[in-house]
Amino acid sequence: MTAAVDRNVVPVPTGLRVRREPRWTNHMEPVTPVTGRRLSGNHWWDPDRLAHEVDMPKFCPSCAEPLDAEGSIAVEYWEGEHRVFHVRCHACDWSGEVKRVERMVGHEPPHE
Amino acid sequence: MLKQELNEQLTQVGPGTPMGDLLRHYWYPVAFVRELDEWPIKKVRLLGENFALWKQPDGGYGIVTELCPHRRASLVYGVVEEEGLRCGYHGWIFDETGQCLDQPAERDETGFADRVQTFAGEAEAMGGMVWVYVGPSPAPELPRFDVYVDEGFKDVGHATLPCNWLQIMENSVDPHHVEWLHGRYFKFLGEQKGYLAPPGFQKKHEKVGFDEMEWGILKRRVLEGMSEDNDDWAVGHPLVFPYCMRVGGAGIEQMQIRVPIDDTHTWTLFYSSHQPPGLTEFPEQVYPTDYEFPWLDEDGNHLVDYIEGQDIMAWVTQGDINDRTGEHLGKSDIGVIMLRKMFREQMALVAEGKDPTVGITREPHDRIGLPCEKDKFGVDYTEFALSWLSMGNGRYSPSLDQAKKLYLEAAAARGDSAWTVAAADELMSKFTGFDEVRANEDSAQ
Repeated sequence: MTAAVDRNVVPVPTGLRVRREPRWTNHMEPVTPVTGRRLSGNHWWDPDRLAHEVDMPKFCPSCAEPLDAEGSIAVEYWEGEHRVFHVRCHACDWSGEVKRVERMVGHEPPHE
Repeated sequence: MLKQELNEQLTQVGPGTPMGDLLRHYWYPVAFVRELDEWPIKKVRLLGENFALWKQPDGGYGIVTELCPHRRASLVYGVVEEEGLRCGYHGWIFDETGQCLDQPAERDETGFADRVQTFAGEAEAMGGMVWVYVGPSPAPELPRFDVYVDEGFKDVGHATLPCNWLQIMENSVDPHHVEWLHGRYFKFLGEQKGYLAPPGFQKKHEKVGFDEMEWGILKRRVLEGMSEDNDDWAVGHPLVFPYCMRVGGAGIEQMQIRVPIDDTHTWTLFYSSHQPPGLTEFPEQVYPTDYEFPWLDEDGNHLVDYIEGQDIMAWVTQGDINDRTGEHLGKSDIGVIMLRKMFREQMALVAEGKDPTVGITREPHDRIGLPCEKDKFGVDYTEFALSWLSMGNGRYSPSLDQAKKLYLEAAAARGDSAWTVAAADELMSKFTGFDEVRANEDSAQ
């Protein structure tokens, strides 16, 4: 018969008591070789993916060099209902944002 | 969102790829000094290529392409000699420059050996790790960052992950994930399982900022109830381009290292130098403590009851290579955008035959100091350190007890008498596992 443990008289551990040694594997199935594999995920007909292809600026707004050239980039992010493309042109080092506007909407001025 | 071609270019690290060419301009840690003292040859896979790394009898290191240029057997199963690494198959020997010096079965007068050269990189030790450079000559200087060369009590947790290194790096410029992954999600787990999640990580981000610097991107944040005067904004901490992040607080000085093994595997290391304010002397160490920490349980599920386990869950579940053609970034992801822009810019410089302009130096130096906040999230130093130790991968470190003792000694040295061993244990007992351990102890009695 095991005596009940009085926690008040259990000596305070000087070493670490929270460490545990769980059984673990770090094993994950091997991945498919990348060579010859196309990335998968959303379907190609996903409307956001299609819109990305259509809306992405192709040329630098400043010098008109192609934005798919080495060192240039156009990354899409969303701000509210807008698709915004953050652009950097390697030819002229212009960096800025391109946003497609489908409808011009202003703020109502403050009034009584 | 990225085009597929761009995503592939940003994630492919092999030889001859634009990113691979850029990454070959940097030094990488590939082994612990301890390992090569125990056995002098190690197989290394780095940037999609295999190498044989060896320790020379004079104490230096060499690294060559793994396969012998003779009959293509592995030099990892070779013989270390004064002159270099000798192939175990037919005895060809290569020095640290890759020059073949001897071919025992060939006649000396043919000069055949003189005409055989295998690729050799450069290798040297720093901070208890062996670093290699496998890019074009001449190699830049090995950057001697503060964490590696400053006095401190050092320990290194590491694991190999089945994912591309870029998704780990993008996490380093994504400050908002802290309040969710390590805040709200952690708190949810704690509520379900009966432990305390560290409250400091639950504070809301009011503002985040990113500044380009010579070593990468300096990341700043203002948390709820804090201001730009706090270290988290005034000092911040940097992503160290292209594969590290300097982080810490309260005397924990850490470099998070993500070595690209190949396109779909990354060796991730958390190199900590414990230097709590108040102490100037630290326990003697022959080597930094190194240990592999777990991130999957026996059923193959992610271990998410500690900080880095949560990060790893996010990195690995994105897939071996994150399909960024399906992502939807927001304004809060500007750090990620900035990093991609920096990679493209630096890749283009290398393609033009130039050096990268970020994260590289050719100036000899003894030490490079990096900015890193001390006052982290506005939490008491000792409380922060103890929660970092017990709620991070440090919980698996064989040196955990020593590190804890160090922070308590430092608190005492600073005149903070509140932190006793009992107080530390009480705090740490609120964290994961204590109840489970205590229940096991009770049932065993």
